[in-house]
This record gives sequence, structure tokens and C-alpha cells, in this order.
Amino acid sequence: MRSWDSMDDFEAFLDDGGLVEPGDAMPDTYREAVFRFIELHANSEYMGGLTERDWIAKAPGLANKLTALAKTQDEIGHAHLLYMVAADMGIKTRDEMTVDLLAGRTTFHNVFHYRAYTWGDQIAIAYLVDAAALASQQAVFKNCSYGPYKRILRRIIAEEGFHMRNGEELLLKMAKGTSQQHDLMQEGIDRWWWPSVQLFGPDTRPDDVLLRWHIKSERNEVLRDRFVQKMVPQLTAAGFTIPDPDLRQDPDTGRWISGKIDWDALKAAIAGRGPDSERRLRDARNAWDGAAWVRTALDEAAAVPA
Amino acid sequence: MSDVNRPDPSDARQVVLALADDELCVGQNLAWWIAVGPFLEEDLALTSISQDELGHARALYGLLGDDIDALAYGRQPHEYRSAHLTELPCRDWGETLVRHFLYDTAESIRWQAFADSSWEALGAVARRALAEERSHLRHASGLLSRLLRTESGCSQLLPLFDQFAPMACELFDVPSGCSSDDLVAGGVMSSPLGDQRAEWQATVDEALAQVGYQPKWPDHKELGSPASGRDGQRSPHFATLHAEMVEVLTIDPSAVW
Repeated sequence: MRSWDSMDDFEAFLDDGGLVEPGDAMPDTYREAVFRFIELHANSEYMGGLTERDWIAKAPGLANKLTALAKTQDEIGHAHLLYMVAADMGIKTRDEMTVDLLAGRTTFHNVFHYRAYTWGDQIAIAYLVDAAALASQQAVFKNCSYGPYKRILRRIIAEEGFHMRNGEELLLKMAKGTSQQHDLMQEGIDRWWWPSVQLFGPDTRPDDVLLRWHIKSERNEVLRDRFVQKMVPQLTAAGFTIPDPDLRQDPDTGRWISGKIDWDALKAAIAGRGPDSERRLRDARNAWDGAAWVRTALDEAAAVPA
Repeated sequence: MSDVNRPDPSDARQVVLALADDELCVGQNLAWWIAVGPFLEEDLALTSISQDELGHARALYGLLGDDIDALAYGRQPHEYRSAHLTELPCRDWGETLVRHFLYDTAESIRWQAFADSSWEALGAVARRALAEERSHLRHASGLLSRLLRTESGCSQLLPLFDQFAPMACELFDVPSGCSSDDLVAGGVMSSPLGDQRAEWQATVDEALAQVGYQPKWPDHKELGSPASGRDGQRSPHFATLHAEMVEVLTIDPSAVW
């Protein structure tokens, strides 16, 4: 077991690119902060799966159905891995994390408080939300100081890359499709653009410990700006508009500048007051409670000889 | 594809269509479990199985025509041939486990009977599916036998066998007018459906013998009668299932999704 004499020593270790492992005597504040971050990520993957599942049954055609199902299964797989890594930190068990999430005591990303109303929304999630999530995860992976998290992020990022490409492929089909398809897609973009931009969060505070401890490697505003620079030309080239009337291009640099971002919407969503939060949590709670007998019975069966 | 020995192509095609429809409905119903199973490992397992079943549906429809989505989603309800068991939503996990066990036990036997089919492409699909069925069955049997060692498991699951096992017999029915014996004579199938059903019942009985239970099987005389699902009568659950399958497709039938 490795230990450090002082926070200065620990931070010097992190600054040298050191990787912290679960058995290490890491400072409690670091353990707590990393745990909260991974728990938020796990909750978000899980709630993302719950958001997308509405459209698996309705996905048009067998190929799309199989892809949608595999993608949602990936998200739940990510949640599974992340909950195990978080549980190994010794702060909460997996069940405690689930119960806290379902009781509304812990949070998840703003985007998964919204509802996917149409197939266009489902594609907008794959195209915008997965791209935003991927950008954030890549920035965490780059410099991540917690070993187990860094290792599973490698796999998560590989899979999210497929999701984003699937989103691009489906978006282009809608772009080249009938006028009804185009309208469905535009409505999806209109609904998911701002939540995706807000997903990166407000500008990072200078004293953010997640940056200092090498969990995050880039500031929120940098990632957000990169997302806007990438998405605006792609969406406009495909014939769609961005639901931001104040969006403008800097004549000198050519960079896109967003209008005012409504951070109150982000705060409200995360506080559990997003438009579809309660239904989503209720579904998950009912499922969890309804299957309590299965978990109890399997524990019981494991305790008696076959 | 060498089809020289195929006795009555339309009979074989009818049977394949029925199996494909079974897989389509079961796969669709199992997909519902993503994110809402008793624990995450089970969500992942059930939806892997769902993907396998939908893959089987795709392979079987592919034996019948080039436009797989037209076959899977473009027919009227009375043109489907699914067994009613497969159309049940099973939104309770215990129901899903019992259906899963009955269905995958039946499937293993059905696929085995096609493994050396004179319809070579069908044989190839069956052999590939058999490998997957082994893992499906391990999953279903493992959970079932563990849960049946507990009181709550028995009280939750055993009554469901009485409800589902008789329905599941339909999995071994053919659309009326098709002859199981002719399919055997022509080498499409290696054993008649009656024999396959008997083997399946024995397997189910054996699994439940550990708790001294036997499902209430239908009277032998009732078996082999033309089954409503196989003849195009849909169960009350099919309308919702089908409406969801085609909801986006019907927004704009001319669109490519």
C-alpha cells in the first residue's frame, strides 16, 4: 500500500503523472471527490440507458433496432463497470448507490432529465449528447490520475465513438430523406442542442480540485467551445439550423460564438426539476422495487448448498 | 442453396416463417428489459439474448426473401404466424424467466432438428443458432434452479409454469395444412414435431422435478390441433407489440430510415 506524508507530496505524485490505485492510502478528500465524480458518471450512463430505451421497441427496421439495443446495452454496461469501480473505493456499495439515485439523493447529467419524444430525438441524443459526453470523457481519460477509472474509460471511449458515428450516419439519412424526416430531425436538434451545450457545465472555477488532481484535464469552457466549433458547421452543412438566434461567426477568426447560455435550466435539470425526471426515476424505482424478491432469493440460494 | 430434396417448398417456408415470427416477438419483448432488470448484469444478459433472437429472426426471414424489413414489419397482423407465448409482454421478471426457460428449451430442440436439414441454408442458420442457445439455456436454467431452491422463488415461479407451459406447446405446432411428417420425409427436419414436443416436455419436467412439481400439461388429444397463433389469429397482446414495431416505419412509408 502506498501512502503520502502530506497533501503536497500526494499532489506532486499526481503532477508527475502518478496513477492512484484502490489499495493506496489516498487522501480522504481525493477519495471522496473522485468517488463523487465516478458515481455521477455511472448514474448518468444508467439514466442515459433509461432515456434511450423508449425508442428501442419503435426503432424503424431490424438493423436500427439491433443497433439501438446494442448502443443502450453499452450504456448500461458502462454504468455497470463504473458502479463497480466506484464501489471499490469503499464509500458506498453498488446497492447504496442505486437506492440513493432512485431516491433522488444523488445527481446525474442534465441531458438525462429530458424526454426523447421522437425517433429524431433518439438520433439527436446519439449525435449531440454522445459527442458531448465523448469529448468530456476523452478529456478525463487524457490525464486521469485514478487508475481503475482511466482503464475503463479507454473502453467506454471506444464504444462512445461508435455511438457517435452511428448518430452521424442516422442524421445524414434524415438529412437526405423525405421532408417529414427532415422535420423530425430538426425538431430533435431544436430540443437537444441546448441541453448538450449545457452538459459541459459553466466555466470551470479556478480552484476546481478535479483539475488540480488530474481528473479533469481541460476546462469546461474549452470543451464546450470545441463542441460548438465542430457541430455548427456539420449541422448546417447537413441542412439543419441551430436553435440559437444569437449564434454568430467571428468575422476575423471564423469561430462560432454562442448566444447566452441559460445556466438556470442546467441547475434546475440537475436538481431533479427537469421536464422528465420524475417519470424516469419512477420507472426505475418501480423496476428496482418490483424485482427485490429476485435479489433476496438469489442471496438466499447462494447461502444454502445446492 | 441446394433445394433439390425439399419436398414441399411452401410447407418448409411456412414453418420457417413461424419460427422467424416467434424470434421477432421474443426478441422485441426481451429488449424491454434494458435498464429495468433486477440488477445490471441481468439487464445485460437478457438484452444480449434479445439481440441473438432478433438476429435469428433476421437470418430466418433472409431465407424467405431479400427485403427482411418488409417480412418482419410489413405484414398485416393475420399474416404473422407467431405462437401466442412469444407475444406475451412478460413485464414481470419472473414471467420473463419462465417464458425464457420454456422458449429456449424448445428452441434448442427445434434448431437441433434443423441442424442437418436438406435445406442447406436453413441447416447453417440452425447450427449457428444452436451454439447461442447453449448460452441462453445456461442462463435460464442457472437462474431457475437457484431460485427454485428458495420458498419465494417457488411461490413466484411455479404458478407461472401452469400458465405458460400449456401455451408453450404451440411452439411445436405448424400452420394447418403443413405436414410435419412430410418435412421429415424430405429431410427438412430430422424428427417430427410431436417427438420434439415430447422431448421438450420431458426436459421441462426434469427441471421441475427438483421441487417435485409437474406443470399441468394439456390433454394429449388437445395437442396437435391447429393452433390459432400458427394460423394467423393474434393474441390480445400482439396489437400493442406490433404498433410499437411499426410506429416510426409508418410515419412515412416512402422513407429510408
